[in-house]
Amino acid sequence: MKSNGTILLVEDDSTDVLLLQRMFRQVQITQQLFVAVNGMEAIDFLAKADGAHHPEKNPLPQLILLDLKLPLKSGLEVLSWIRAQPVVKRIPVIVFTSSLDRSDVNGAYELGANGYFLKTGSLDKMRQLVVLWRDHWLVNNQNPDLVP
Amino acid sequence: MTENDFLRTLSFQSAIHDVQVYGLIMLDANAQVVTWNRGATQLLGYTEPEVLGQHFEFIFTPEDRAGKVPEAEVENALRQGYAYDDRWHVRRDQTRIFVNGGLCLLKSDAGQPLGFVKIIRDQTERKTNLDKIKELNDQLVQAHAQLENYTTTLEEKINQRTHELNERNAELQDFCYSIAHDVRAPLRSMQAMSQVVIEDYGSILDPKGTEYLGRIVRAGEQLDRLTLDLLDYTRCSREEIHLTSISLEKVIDDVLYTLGENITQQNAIVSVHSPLPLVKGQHAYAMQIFGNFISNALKFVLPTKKPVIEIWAEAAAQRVRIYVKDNGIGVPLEHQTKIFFLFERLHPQGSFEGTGVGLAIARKAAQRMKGDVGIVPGVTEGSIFWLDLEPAA
Repeated sequence: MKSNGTILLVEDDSTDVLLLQRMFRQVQITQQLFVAVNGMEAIDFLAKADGAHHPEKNPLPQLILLDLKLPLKSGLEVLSWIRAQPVVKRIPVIVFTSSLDRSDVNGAYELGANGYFLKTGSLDKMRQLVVLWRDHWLVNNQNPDLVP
Repeated sequence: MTENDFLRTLSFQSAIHDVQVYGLIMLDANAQVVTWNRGATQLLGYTEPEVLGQHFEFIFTPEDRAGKVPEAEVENALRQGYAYDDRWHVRRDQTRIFVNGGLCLLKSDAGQPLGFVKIIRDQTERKTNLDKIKELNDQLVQAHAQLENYTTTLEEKINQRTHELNERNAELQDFCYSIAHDVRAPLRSMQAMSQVVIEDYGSILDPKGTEYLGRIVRAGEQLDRLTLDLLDYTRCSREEIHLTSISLEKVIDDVLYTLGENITQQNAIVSVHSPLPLVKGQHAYAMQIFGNFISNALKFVLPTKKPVIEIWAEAAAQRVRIYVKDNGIGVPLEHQTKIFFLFERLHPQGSFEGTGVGLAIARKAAQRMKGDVGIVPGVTEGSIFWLDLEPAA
């Protein structure tokens, strides 16, 4: 499995972070996982990541996992910012949230989300999701270039 | 014979003189009193000798005299032959009397004005009554206007209160929604972490410890189902809804597809009496309702029985009623209304799954589509639930 890519997880709930980290390990996802704990931090991270000059030090993630209910800037605001950037806008964004609001689902897709998945309390179901993401986005998907 | 002599000799003079109730006053061409009958004395208090030769203006009120009303009356009588007189006059004792009558011109055969006859009748009581009626009527009109004013104010108040109430209601629903939503995050953590402990430390736990953790997980699942149902309920109540023509066939198809796994697992037989009509509604809401009816039919059945579900529709002019019949445990008559309200469960926790919110959601969803749900009473075996909706336009 390719291991040079990274994943950005935008999540304020530390248990969710812990669970995902554990699960990524369990299903052998080797991409480095960066965590932003609020919307501002996510934007800062992506704004500083420089695909063009120092891809090794400050890599752009090949996948973004985005929670919606976030402090400072909401997930939808982060998504809208991402899709307005020159290169960052190419990065696939998966919304991973507990929000069942149709307005959130529709809003996320309107803003260009690549997937919308609901958080669940079942470890098995969550693991199924993580495997699904791995196979789809990290193994089979043709990733866009993250340089201008 | 002088003119006055002529007048005095009118043949009905004495008769006139004795008339009561009607005041008859004869005036000469200068409007001065020539005769004054008993009626006039009765009405005005003066006796004939007192007033003979006086200009008739003394019976008018000072205001009318100042306003030249007596002169105008004479002029009118000269011009038209008769002048109406409906006004207040003054008695000898200065009290006032309202009279109705007139001034009648007397002419010679050649058309020369000879004098006048003033005829008056006491209308004080009638006038007073009329005035009273008018006053009462004015009061009534005023009261009516005031009442209308009150009604308008009341309506405004009611509108305002309704508006406030709706706002409160919306706030409350928002509150309920965010509570239910916010409860889920820590709940998920508890569920997931319990499972993590089972997975990662299961080997060092004794069976009892694992079982206890399993209880935490199951309790978590139940609470999560409940919060999800509550979210559905509040969403049903607060969401904007657009009613269009929807196909019940499609609704039932989609519900059966969603419940496919359960239907197969339980070997359930579902028969739909096609075609089902088009109705006015919202697809997702209709699915919510039938999803509820059908999953109840699958849930509330004795484990020894194979669920048999029948779905059909009856169309009338004003509404379409769709029935869902099952062979489940049924609903006792005394509970048939209750089950459509929030948190009414008929079965102890654990005997049948469920949160007690499902039928309340169904009811709310039906109401939002201008319909209703219910249960057919008196069914002894299983139950028949129905949904009423307006037919598609």
